[in-house]
Amino acid sequence: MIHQGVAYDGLVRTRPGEFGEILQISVSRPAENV
Amino acid sequence: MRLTRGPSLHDISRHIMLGRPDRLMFKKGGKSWIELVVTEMHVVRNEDNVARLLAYQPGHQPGPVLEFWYDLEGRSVCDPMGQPIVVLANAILQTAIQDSHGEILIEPDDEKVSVSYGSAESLHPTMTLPNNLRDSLITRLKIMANISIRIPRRAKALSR
Repeated sequence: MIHQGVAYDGLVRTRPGEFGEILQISVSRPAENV
Repeated sequence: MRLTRGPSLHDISRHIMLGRPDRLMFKKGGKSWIELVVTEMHVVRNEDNVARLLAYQPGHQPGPVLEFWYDLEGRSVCDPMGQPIVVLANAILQTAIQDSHGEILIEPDDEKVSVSYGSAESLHPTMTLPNNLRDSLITRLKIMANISIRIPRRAKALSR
């Protein structure tokens, strides 16, 4: 199952991998307060 | 400019060199940031089993300006500027924003955690972190994104 949410300006998606969860983050635009 | 100093080393049994210097931003306080280059990461096996992250600043003294220490669960041992996992997670995002990378991939294997930057079509491994930071880093990023931190059943079974 894929989970996703937004951290600052990054869309975070997780999926299970062989050695633990894999995270892919899509950064959409610049952030000032990361 | 040494901001903090860790305990002395006793027995370095493993030394991981990163593929290239990694530029990271560490928040100093308020809107003030420090730009650092992380060139080395040591996994130190002494009586306390701690991991050590050394950060170097370009154009300044040759020695490290920051040292972060972690126990085997990735918890901070020496906490100079807030929780290191928080700083590290922020720095991973900040690096992508600064370098205009659209995608970050954080992928653990049996020995390490690879952090890759690039676009959806092309990702390049840039940073290698010790495996003992895996759960803390992934949990921190999931908390930031309001994703449940429950470990998926398949990953949990395989990690045993």
